Amino acid sequence: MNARGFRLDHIDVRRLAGVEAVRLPAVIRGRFHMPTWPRVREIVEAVAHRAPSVFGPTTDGAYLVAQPVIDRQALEPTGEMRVLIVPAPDPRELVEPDPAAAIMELMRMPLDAVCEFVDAIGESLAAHAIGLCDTGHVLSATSVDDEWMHRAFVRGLPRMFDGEALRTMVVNELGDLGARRMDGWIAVAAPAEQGISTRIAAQTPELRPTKPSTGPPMMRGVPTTQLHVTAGNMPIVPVISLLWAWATKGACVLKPAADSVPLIAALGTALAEVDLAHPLARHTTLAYWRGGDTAIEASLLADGAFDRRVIWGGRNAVQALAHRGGAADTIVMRPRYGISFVGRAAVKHDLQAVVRLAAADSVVANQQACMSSLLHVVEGTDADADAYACALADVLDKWDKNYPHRVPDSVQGRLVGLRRGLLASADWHLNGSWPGGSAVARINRDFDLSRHPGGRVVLVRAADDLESAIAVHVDRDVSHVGVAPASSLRRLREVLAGYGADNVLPLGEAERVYAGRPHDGMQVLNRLVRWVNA
Amino acid sequence: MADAEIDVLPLLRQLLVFARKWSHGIPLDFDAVAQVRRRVLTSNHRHHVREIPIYAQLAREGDITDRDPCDLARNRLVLSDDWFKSYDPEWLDGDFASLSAWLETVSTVRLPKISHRASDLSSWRSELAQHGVFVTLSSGTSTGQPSLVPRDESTLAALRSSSGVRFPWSIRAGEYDCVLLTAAGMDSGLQAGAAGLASNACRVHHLRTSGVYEFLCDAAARRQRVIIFGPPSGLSSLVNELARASRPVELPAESCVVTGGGWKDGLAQDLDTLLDAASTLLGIDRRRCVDAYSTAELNTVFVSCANHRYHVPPVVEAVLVDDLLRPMGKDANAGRLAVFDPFARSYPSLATSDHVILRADPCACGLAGQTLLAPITRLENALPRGCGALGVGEPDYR
Repeated sequence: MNARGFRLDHIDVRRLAGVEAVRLPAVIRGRFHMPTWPRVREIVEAVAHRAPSVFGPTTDGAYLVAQPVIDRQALEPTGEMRVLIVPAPDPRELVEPDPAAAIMELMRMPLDAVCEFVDAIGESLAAHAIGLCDTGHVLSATSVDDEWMHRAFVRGLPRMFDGEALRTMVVNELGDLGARRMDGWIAVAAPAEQGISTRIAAQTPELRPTKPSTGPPMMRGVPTTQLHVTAGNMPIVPVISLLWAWATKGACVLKPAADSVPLIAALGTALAEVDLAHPLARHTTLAYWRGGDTAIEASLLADGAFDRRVIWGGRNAVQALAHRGGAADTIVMRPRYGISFVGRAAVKHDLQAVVRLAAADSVVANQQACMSSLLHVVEGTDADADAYACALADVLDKWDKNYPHRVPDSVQGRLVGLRRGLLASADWHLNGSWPGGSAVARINRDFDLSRHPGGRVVLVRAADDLESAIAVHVDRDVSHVGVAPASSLRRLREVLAGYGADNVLPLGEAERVYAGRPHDGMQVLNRLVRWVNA
Repeated sequence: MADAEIDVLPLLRQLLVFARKWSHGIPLDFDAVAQVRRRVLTSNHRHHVREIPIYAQLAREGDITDRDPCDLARNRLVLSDDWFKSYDPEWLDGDFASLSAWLETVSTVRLPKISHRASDLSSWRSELAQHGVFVTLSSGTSTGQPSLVPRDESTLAALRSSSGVRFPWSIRAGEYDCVLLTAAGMDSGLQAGAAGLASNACRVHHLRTSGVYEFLCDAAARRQRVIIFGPPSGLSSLVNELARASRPVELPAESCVVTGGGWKDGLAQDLDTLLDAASTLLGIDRRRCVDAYSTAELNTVFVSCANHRYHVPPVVEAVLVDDLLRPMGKDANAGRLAVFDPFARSYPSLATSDHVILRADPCACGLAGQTLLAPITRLENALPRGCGALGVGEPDYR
């Protein structure tokens, strides 16, 4: 226990009804809520379908998140099920009881204090590497993502909580002046003009103000109440969203996806160790509820419940959430994907080098992330594209051997469906025990990339020239485009941006990030702050 | 290729007879039917491996040769129904030479070197028909891209005869009037079926033209039997119109209503309610108001009975397949439907995009064999991807 009486082992594991049951907390405005252990029959019911599902709320007010356990070596289901038990929050508790007071308190907190707090969270996470490891194990036990991806995430988590990086993010997004305006009123360097009524009054003796205002216009950033629904299956998503909330001093409620719920234990433990009385801790809520639970979402999505909402997710989440909530400004991180543009010169110069770069962009998050490249457009003939596809398949095979990935059964099914259906006419290069392994398919037809199921399957298509291929392959569903060689990148980046790509990067750098990088074409922090004029 | 056809034609004729007998409720030796069916399917498999290069490639990947029995192909080589969408959709805008070349890669049909003069899909299909290749289109409602299913003459003959399926209450050619509920055109299997019915009818009325009520009243007055055929949405329009009429229509009891296709368009009422209403408003025996299930690739129909089951003629075999297109175990009773159709000489058997409950137990209507329970539903669409990408196969934002 720490000085404030919170146990640091907030991951509580038992075996109930032959099933591993993991009890996890919610952190509601600086207070821990542990769920009551469920009844045995409720556990039995939760795992009855032997498939991912969310059961509840239980008699005692908990959700049971049931997931098949995955063997970490084979990345195959073991046949066992695991149940996460999380408290079903009371929606009345989630909304700030006195939003104005919360905003004023957070507004008074200097950015320096935010950075110090974030540093302390990072240090706490680093100091509790074993606890973090436990969180990592709970995260990975039911994940079909590879172990090396989980290890990399857990190792990198403390470093994400870096005060200086957070300050850089704020400065990069809001500008130096904007960052200072987060801490107070700053004069606007522009002459102010009075409106018609004021000017008329000034010309009319009996209406003229006896003491005209002479002060310069002022502006400051004011924190907002924020709802973050992070439906992603990558645990980094709720962390990014939380950092956005803290960088803007927001009073936030953050919902992780079912798969990322164990993060609440790690972050909550760090909050408890650092200072639960800190204004950021007292206005941060990390809680899970079942997406679509009307008892909760009717309150959270009510008009005026939050100033800002950040919705990460697939089509269903966006459709269900984005158009509710009245006037709340809603920031949507919608489903998108990446592609690669490979110029003739790059292929001719060093094919092996270029396919290594391109492969790195295509294995990101098992092709489930918006930066994962699904299609490589190769400048040249079909024969050039064939040679490229062969070389790429070889590199992907090496990825398979060094960093094996597990393709979920449903994805394998959809890949087989493509191989024996819509993309039957493609030239396929299959690796290993495909669809368990990677593949390259050289296509000569249009293909709707939103139908690509992920895994490690890259489509390759020849194009006479890259510039004319942009209109065919790039639209607003394309988030990332990796381009080689550098001369093509310089030549094409404005056209690519014009067609809708938000990230035009050197090939092989799809995952490149920096503090304050725009996301989905937005400087999100700007939208999470309320800019007040005085 | 010619040898294979000579071997298989008598067997196909035998299957047609089996189908006809089954339709009429005549007892059959199902094992004997299955044996003939398997022989044809094995012959078809050999034919397909030899004549369809992409299929041959898939066979090699599955470690299957042209000499293997059809059971091996059934276990390792079920194709997706998107097989007939594997062309570039842009070709539909006028690149008919590419479309024709593609047909030869996905089926056994072969075309002479012709310079296409077609200006649209319809004239391209007419051109091909002159060379013995008959292309049927699916509606394309699921993906926006239609399936183009090429049939040679023997496969087309099977389609036209519904592979021999004919019910005891079927009305003889030339002895009925016909109301067609289909849209104009000849592209889809449903429209082709409608045209076939129309060609043997005394009088034809298209729902899309006015006067359907008067047409039906006239038939009733003359005691002329009527076949009403088309998608449920068309029947729904007809039922609405009849419900507004001043007096009911009393057609001869031997008339019939057959709906087909279009069930995924979303109706205000379920199909049974619709067929009940048609039966009541037209005075037709409810047992003669049926729905027929088929797909663009299938050469027969599964007709529903009053017990909410679609009957699978024993000349084809319905199989449930899993996500990986592998046949499911014997205990499975629900899954994706694949149909092994021996009449599909010009292309291999395919899985549909439909989720069904498959039963082997007897139906109270007395017709033997496999049945599919209503309702038949579409498989779920693909999930999206993004920064907030979800666990694949899991519900969104759980």
